Amino acid sequence: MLNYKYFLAVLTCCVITTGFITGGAEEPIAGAKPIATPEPRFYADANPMPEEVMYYALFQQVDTLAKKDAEFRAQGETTTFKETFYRTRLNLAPAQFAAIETVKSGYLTGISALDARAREIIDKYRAKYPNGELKRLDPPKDASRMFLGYETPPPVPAELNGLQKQKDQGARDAREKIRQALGDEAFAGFESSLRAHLTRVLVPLKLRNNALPPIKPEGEVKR
Amino acid sequence: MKRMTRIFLAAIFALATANFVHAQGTIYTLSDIALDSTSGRVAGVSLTWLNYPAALHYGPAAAGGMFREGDLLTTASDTGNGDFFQAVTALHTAPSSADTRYDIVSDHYVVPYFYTEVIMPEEELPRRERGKLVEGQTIPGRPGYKLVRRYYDPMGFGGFGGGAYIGWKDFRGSTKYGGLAWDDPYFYLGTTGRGIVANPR
Repeated sequence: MLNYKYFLAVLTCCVITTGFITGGAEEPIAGAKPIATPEPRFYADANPMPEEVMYYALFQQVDTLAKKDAEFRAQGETTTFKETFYRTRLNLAPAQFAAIETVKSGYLTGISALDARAREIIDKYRAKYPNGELKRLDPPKDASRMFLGYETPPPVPAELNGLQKQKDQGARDAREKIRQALGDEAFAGFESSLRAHLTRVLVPLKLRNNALPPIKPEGEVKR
Repeated sequence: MKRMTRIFLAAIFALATANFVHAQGTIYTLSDIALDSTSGRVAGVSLTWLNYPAALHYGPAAAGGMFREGDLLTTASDTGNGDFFQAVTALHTAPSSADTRYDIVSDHYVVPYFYTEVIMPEEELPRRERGKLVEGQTIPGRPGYKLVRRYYDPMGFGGFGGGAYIGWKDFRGSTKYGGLAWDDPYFYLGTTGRGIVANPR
């Protein structure tokens, strides 16, 4: 009898766990669900801005500017958008941003494998629903005329969540490498500049906020 | 008592594991503009990016517009071009003039992947949804009813509504930038922007 109680208790734990993993009643694995736009639950909150977000944004912005420089170089013109960004936005000397470039290259190479695996998982997940179509469910006999039920896709695969954690950790590892390369004092100044910069350009999403944020000039930009 | 302790620890472990596994889908937006001190050109970046869980149900899209003294100079849009996780546009100007203001204005979107088709009485169709006219598709043999697509939106981004400072349609039809076709679904997330007063040497 005692074993039976123990079994029941463990089963209860499993049920609770499953509820958390699937998001509880908010994301049913299958079954009828009224069609309605649910209230947003997960939004990026840049205050305080997570380190992995800061460094991912930094590397992506720098990479975009580097591509812009390469685009002009291919046309025979010299631009220095990337270097100007490092120098004027982050107050870095050439030797310092060279160190960050090395870390950035390693990070971007590292996450390309994660991105590729994530794409495979997403492709496999979506392949179960050709063209993205979810089947409509037949209404129960006692349903109202406006019953709108459809099958719901399964929860986010655990491996995909794990890959995201690896990607985030990669950004935090990159931060640590930059700290080691710059030294504590210079790193503190760099990260302060980076945070200040991203606070201006990385806008957190707000519910039902369609208003254009005020655009203020940064002041004169001089060489 | 010993058994109860084990059960309690099992419960704690189960909850901790569940919280670890349950990741959040998130979407980020970025707009920035800068003067290149070498060429005197101004470049603007518009970026929308999703983390992996969000990319399961949506694709990223970004549209950027570059303005000089309030006049639209150039636009571009991107839907990731096969990249599931980020859409980015990078616009630039000709060498800038002294004391000239430049702005980058970015519209951020996600494109839902899953949908279901619903048959609705014509009179009950919403006239507009997210800023778009809902017409529905005629169903042969069922007068008075229309077939409409409803997009699966587990993270609720449709709640941001439609329309934008720069309408998406201003960017559509440009195969050069791979813009969305007009009938493609999208959820508008918001508009961001940055401006500078450029003073090249």
